[in-house]
Amino acid sequence: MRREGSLWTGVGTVFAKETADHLGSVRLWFLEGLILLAAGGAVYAAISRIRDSVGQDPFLFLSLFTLAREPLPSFVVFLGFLVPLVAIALGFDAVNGEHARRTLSRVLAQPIYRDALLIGKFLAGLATLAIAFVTLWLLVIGLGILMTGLAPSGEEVVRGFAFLLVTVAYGGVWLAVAMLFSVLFRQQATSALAALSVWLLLSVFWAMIAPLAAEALAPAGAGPFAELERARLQLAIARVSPNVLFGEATLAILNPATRALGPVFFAQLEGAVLGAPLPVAESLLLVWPQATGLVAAVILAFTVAYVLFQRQEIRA
Amino acid sequence: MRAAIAVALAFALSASATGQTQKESAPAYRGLWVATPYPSFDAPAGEPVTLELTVHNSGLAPQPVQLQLEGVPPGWSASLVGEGKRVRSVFVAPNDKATVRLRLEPSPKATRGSYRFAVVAVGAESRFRLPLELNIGQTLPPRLALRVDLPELRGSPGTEFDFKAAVRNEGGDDAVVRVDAAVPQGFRVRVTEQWGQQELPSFTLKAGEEKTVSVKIQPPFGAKEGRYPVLLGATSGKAEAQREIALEVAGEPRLELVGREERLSAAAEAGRETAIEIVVANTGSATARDVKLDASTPSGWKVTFQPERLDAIEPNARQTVKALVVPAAKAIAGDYMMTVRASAGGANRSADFRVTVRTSTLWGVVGILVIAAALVVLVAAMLRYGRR
Repeated sequence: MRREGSLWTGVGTVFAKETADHLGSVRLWFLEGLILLAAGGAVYAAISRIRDSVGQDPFLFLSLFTLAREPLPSFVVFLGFLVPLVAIALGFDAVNGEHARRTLSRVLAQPIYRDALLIGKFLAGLATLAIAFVTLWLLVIGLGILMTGLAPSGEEVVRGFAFLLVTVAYGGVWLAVAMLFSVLFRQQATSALAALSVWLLLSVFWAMIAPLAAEALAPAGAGPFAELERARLQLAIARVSPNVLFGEATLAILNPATRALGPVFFAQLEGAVLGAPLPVAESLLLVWPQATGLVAAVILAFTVAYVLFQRQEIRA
Repeated sequence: MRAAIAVALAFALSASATGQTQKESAPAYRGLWVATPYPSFDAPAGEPVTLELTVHNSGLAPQPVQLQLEGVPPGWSASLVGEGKRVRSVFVAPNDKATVRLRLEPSPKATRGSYRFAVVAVGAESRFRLPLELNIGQTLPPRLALRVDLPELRGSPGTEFDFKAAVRNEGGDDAVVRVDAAVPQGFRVRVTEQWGQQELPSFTLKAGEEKTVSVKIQPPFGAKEGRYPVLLGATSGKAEAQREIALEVAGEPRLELVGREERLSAAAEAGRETAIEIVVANTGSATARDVKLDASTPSGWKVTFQPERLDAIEPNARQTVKALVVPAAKAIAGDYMMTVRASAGGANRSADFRVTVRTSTLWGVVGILVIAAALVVLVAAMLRYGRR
């Protein structure tokens, strides 16, 4: 039967309820605690390194996110690792959990469309992620101000905000993927495992797969141009992984001296003033493909989940 | 004619008598004689005087010659000195001469006036008396002479003009001399030793002595091209000498390059033409002619100047040139260094411009299109699959 009326009917209700559920859930508390511990440690290490160095860095606050001290990885690396976990945890049982609890037909008996249910659930997950990251971001900035006694500059705030948006988009990708699996599989454990294995594949193994795949797919041949072709293909394959996109985007946003992502001809560097920071707009332009790629991935994964959910049979 | 023959005959006889070969030019005088270049002279009071005496033997046999002084005023000391010894006689060969010096120390009480005395040479068969006159207190009036061998020098405004000036004390007394130069406003004068840096505001110059000093004149920075006459003067209290010298300051253009409002940075978009205004200024002293501009840039960049060359920039004038910069189309965003050079004959100047390259926002639009396409797919799915 075709939907009548606006698909937004009930989205608000679902969104409010789901957000409340997420924020109150033990699962989220658990993950938030984990992130806070890891990220807090990383930032503390970064600050102690900043204090040790006497060099002047015009982007001191950005180095809070990127500096690492030996046993601990940097804040950004921690986020790249933990954000997918939080997103998967929020989304892996979004639909099949309702099935399992036999509450789906009850919800749908209300004047709420299926569209609204899925959209509401996704938006609630995204909002939860956003709240968590904004809190974390503010905590880091606050810790930085407290411990270094400096205020971030306008440009640092803009870059930090862009970093926040990219992080939310990155979380959105994994949330959409997790919800896709929750639609696809009836068993919650299956969908959780499936999401986790995809995450493992893309975040850990992809770095090994990309060169092999490029080797296999690239036209055979020697010489610098074949090498360049292979490097480009390898980069294109690697960029299928949202982790790679997130890594590149944060690198360019948080390290203003980054001028290019990918292979650069030597001639292009002739006369270039290395180490000079790029204007914010240029950095954003540089990561624009990565950022839009992440957003497009969110939309596509959600669309697939949506189509599958709409075609499912739901019985009481 | 007859007389000449007679003399020649006599000379030939005497030559045979002494057994010596004679020169062709036979001396007309025969006998002993004493000479001094200045038999009558002036001297300051209370100072010793030395006279050079030569005793000649013309055509006589070799013989010792006694030298005596006649009429030396009492209280004066007079002595004949030969090779550092007091002498009383000299030995002269025929047609030869002997040199002695007469050293006279007038009595300190000697008043102004004329004193006469004589030197008498007494030989075996001949005698000669040389009267001398000494005027005490009749010295030369104070007088300075100033000589500059190279009175006109040429140089650029940055150089120090070095004139060698020889000051001679032509007076009879010692003098303290001061050398100075009347220069135009802003010029700097230093009077130093001829070879050295020690400044000599004034120095003592003995009577008859000469000293060369170095007068160094530095034109002010940015002095205009032209000829600057300078009056060089040497003064002691009583005398002065002047000499006109001239500095020929050759003009020299000096170029400066800056951006508009003194900025050396600019922003440009990759592959797009951007105009950067460049100010070429001439801070030198001569007109810079035919100023050419060029730039060295990262590879793939194009820079053209409008106009490509400037015909002339007057001193202290500036002209604006537009540099049309086209960064390489594939240039990556960020800062690049570009060197712009202006050259006019010998003068040239380069300046580094920092160009911030911005990349095209085309890919940004493409990114938005990708998101839009994804949203279209989503909306299409919602429309297609929307159900209760």
